[in-house]
Order: sequence, then structure tokens, then C-alpha cells
Amino acid sequence: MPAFTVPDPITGEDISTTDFEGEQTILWTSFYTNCPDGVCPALILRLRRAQEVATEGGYGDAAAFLAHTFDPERDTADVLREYARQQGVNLDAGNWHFLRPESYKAGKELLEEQFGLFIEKRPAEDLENLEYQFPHYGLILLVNERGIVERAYPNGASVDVEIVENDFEQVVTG
Amino acid sequence: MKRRDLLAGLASVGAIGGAGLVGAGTVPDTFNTGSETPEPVEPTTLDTIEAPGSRDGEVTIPPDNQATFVDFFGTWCAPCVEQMPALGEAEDRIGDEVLFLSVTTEDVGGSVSEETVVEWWRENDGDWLVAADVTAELAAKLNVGYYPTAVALDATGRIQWSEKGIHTADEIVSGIKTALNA
Repeated sequence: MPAFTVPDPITGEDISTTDFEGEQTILWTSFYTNCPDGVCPALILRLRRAQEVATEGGYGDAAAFLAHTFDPERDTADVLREYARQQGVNLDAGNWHFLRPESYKAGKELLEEQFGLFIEKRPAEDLENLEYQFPHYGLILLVNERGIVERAYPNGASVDVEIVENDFEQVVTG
Repeated sequence: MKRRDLLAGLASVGAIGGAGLVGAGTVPDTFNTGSETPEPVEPTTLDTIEAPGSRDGEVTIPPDNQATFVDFFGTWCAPCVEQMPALGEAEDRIGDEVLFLSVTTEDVGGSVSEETVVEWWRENDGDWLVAADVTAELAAKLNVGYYPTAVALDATGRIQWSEKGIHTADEIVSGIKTALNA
């Protein structure tokens, strides 16, 4: 998982991906609240369900859910809080963080550079540069507590919800 | 082909232990076409909402020996408003033949009040059963990937039709018939 630090505008904390190493398994996705086509609620639904299952399973403290907006100009703390309410996200559980880069440009660079680096490590990198313009849009990453990406769901909005729940549980409790 | 290779490559990054799990659900759709019969969906019981056409109580989905039509919506979802007239027409035409209901995945009674849902229901002329999937458990089982999503299950609880987006009444009726005739 790329190391980066982005503010959580609701808690006011700076969230660093490295903070979770040795402590939490991460489920990460990128989205924005103005997402016009219903895909982002589907991504958030998958994180929400993993959060629910983690709470039920008693391992919520070993989990972190990171929802990273690439539209910080519109996705203010208030907007994100309202979005969480609409989408049934449990902010009180303490394991959910919205990540809001300081500016659109900073966020764009972060996704391109950090997550670009991430995919450059994959084989067949010539093709990935072409493809990565859009796949990150619906991407969910499952990162183990050592900071290693265990699973990438490039079709994150349509991947079976129960597969995400089960994979997450297996990595957290494994 | 290259695109598929990439997606498959991304999907198999994981180092999760059980070999049987690797790639499950992330296999590109084109590799999944085939003859597999879907498994029956495990029943989930939801609270229903007292609203026009609906009642305060519970509903189990899928029920025993009855086909079901579920519309997934949210009161925050603009396309779901657009979907309502066609749902009303479909319910008039074929609602007697199936368990016909709308389900919101909002945390009704928690972060969203029941009144919010009832008010939305009234404003949009809902007149059939409406239920709250407060932990999104049913949405997970039926793999909602969009709002609205329409799902028709046959009398054995198997998904026979599932499509995201806004549908016409004809499309909904046809989806329900697929489940009734399965």
C-alpha cells in the first residue's frame, strides 16, 4: 500500500496509511459524493458491509475503512458526514475515515503518483498505464496489517459483496 | 484480451491463503458465462415500514414458495424517484402474483428516521410493501451494485433477473415473468 497522509475532515486527524501497520487491516476505496451513476454508493456499500460484519464479529478495532474522495472541493466535512448518514456508514465505530486531500490537484497527484507506483509493480506495466485512467475509479483494495495489498478488486462496485466481506474477515482474523 | 489479462492480473495480486478462494468473484464476466444454476438466496428478515400500501411488521426474503420482486432504493437517490411511477404501474399489473416490495438500505430508525422514509414514500406515490434493510444484509446477499437495482427471484429463492438502473414498467413486468416462469 502506498504510504501517504491525508486529512480526515470529520475527526480532524491526519491519516497516514502507515499508522495502521501492525494494527489494522484496511479496506480502501476512492469515490466522490456527487458520483452521478450510483457506482460510488455501491463501493461504499461494500465497505459498509465489511464494517458491519467486523462489528458483529468483534474485530472492528482491527479494521480500518478508508473512503478517499477525489473531489475535495465539494466533499467537505459536512457533506461527507451527511453522506455517511445516508449510506448507513457507522462513524461512531471509530474505524471509518473519509480521506480528503487538501486540494483537487493534490488528490489527483496522489492517486496518480502513489497509486500509479502501486500498479507499476504489477507485471505487464505497459498496459496498465493505459488502463489505469479509469479502473481506480471503481477500485477497492484490501490491505493486510503488514501494509501489503492482499487483494485488489478492480470491479469494486459489482464484485460480490459477500466475497469482500469474507476476504476481509479472513485477512483480519487470519 | 489484453484488458482481460490486466484485470485478471490485478485481481490475483492477493496472497490470501486458501487456494480455492483466489480469484473467486473477480474472474472476468466473460469467463463466467455458463450453465451454473444459481444457489437459492439465504432468507433475510427485514422490518417493514408503516406507510401507504405497507404495514408495520416483518418480511422474510425470499419467502417460502413465492416469487419475489425487490426494488432497492434510497431516499437520497434521485434516479430512485424517477423509478417510482414505473414501479407503481408494474405493481398494478403483476403485484398480485409475487411478493412485491421496495427496500431501502438506509439505517432506518438509526441515522435516518422512519418519518423520512414515510414522507419520501408518500411524495413519490408508493403504494406497496416497503422494508428497511438497516445493515444492508439483503443488499449484500443480492449483490446490489447500483441504485436503483431491480431483482426478481423465483419461488425457490433463486435470482432469475437482476438489473441496475431505471426500468420501464414493461421491463419490470418482464423481469418478474422471468422469475414466475423459471
